[in-house]
Amino acid sequence: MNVIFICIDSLNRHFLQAYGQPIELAVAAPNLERFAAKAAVFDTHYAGSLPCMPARREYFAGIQEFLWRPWGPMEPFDVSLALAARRAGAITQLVTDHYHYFQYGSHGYFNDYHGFEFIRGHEYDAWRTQPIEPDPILLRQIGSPDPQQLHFMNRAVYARNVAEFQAEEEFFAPKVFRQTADWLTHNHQYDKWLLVVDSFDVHEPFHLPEPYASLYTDENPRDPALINWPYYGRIDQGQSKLSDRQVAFVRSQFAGKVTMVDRWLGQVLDKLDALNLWQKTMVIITADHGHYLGDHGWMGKPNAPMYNTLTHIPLFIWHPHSPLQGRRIPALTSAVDLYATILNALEAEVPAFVHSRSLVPLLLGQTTQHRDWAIYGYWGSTVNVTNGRYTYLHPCREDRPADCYSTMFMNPHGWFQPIKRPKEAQAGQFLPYTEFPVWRYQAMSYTRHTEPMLFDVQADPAQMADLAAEETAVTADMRHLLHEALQHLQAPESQFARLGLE
Amino acid sequence: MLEINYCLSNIEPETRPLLHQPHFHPIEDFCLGRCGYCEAGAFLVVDGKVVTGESHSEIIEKLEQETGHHLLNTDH
Repeated sequence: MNVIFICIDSLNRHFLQAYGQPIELAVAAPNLERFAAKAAVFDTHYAGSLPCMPARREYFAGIQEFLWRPWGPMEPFDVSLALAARRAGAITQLVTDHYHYFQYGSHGYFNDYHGFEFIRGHEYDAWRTQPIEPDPILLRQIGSPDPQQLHFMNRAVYARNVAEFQAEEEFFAPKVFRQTADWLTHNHQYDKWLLVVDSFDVHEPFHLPEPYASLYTDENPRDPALINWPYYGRIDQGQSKLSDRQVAFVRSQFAGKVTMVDRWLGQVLDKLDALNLWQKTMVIITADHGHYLGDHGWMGKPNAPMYNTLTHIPLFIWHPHSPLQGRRIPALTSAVDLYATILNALEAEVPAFVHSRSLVPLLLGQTTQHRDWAIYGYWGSTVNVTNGRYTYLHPCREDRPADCYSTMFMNPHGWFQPIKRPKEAQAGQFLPYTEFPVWRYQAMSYTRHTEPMLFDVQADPAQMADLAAEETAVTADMRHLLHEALQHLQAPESQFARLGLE
Repeated sequence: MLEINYCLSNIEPETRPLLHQPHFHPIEDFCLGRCGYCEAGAFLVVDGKVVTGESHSEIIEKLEQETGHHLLNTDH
């Protein structure tokens, strides 16, 4: 069997009709809907390690990394998805515009593919240095960076990167999905293949060509007062403060991006039809995380409680031999499970030490139960658990540092900058899943809330009512479940201490 | 009241408590998305504008001069 794995960055589940679309906008995504009607739709699927690159290490190494380290590279002891697929006789290809693969703080994510296409220019991708004076309106809309400022990660690079973009086809998602369809045309006759498609869209900047920019708003999308790349944080204070009008505009542009991505994703689905590939191909469409767009008063992926907006993510899987196509799968599943699922479908060996559990038995109807818990979080911060019915968000102590374990040095909080030396580091065999020696060094913990939070996400999917204080027995049960999950994963002792779970 | 965003990867530990005082509304995040300024040196975002300096204490002194408040004196 072949596999196509498509990750659409930041794709909010609640913007999709397949998940009820409980929002004010009627966002059109007909191709995702036709795929959802054909595939198995997972109703209780959760992200694990956040944000972008930690999620990718779960997908591509099967390691639930946020208990051990933050955003960083593939480790030498990881068995990458591409490497395991190669060993099982598959040709492997990556198509992406996800520039984080090539930025400070991460490497090793593309090396094992037989081929990769990298579409340049998204967000902060250090690509173009001209025009020297970019479009002043776009500069205002992306946060008014000083284009003459030579620091790392100046937002002006985006205005330069897209300066020559005019037609829709020149934007990012159209290029990613056209390259994907082209690859299928020229490579589908290999005996076995793995095609990984990692679309940075619908991630910000929410900068769009027409007709998408005007699809969900009556505003002038070129009004410089309307931001399309808002800073992260609360929408009522500080650098992330936005008016209601600005929030509505951001939401309209996010929705427009969903529709644009969907249109070009449709070319890939059409190609699968045209080449008659469905009966020998597993197709996975998912996201890495969501994105706050005013939800709970927040924008982006800030230092906020980890509500389901970020963590309850979409997952659709077409498996040619599944009796559950076109059906819903209610079982609790986790992002890290896709690693083993893909290797299973490719008849490749799944390393024994990984945290990933194949979803293939669920897809084949051999079981209806998959896992009792799914945990999620950012390294160095709160740790959260769900059993599918409840989500339990557990604070951390800021007076207890977090330990970072890696063969590499990385900046625990400033991931994209040149690496700074940690004050102290020890080396040793500290990890339960490898005999490789690694460094251990400490960094500041930061919490997102000071008290535990509990939500009944079946009765209250929008998580409006924190039940932690009134449902004390359930809160205690969920705290116990978190402890059990950390024990099962052999989390570092220091995690138990910083979480007050000794 | 000045709204001050600061970044955990940038702030000096000894400055963090200085920001928690009556004239300031401090807003902490692990990353403010201002990584260029962060890499280059000390910075704060004051009422939405980036203010840089040799150190966070120096930035607070600058703010003191601009606002006319003795910002480091918590009696004010």
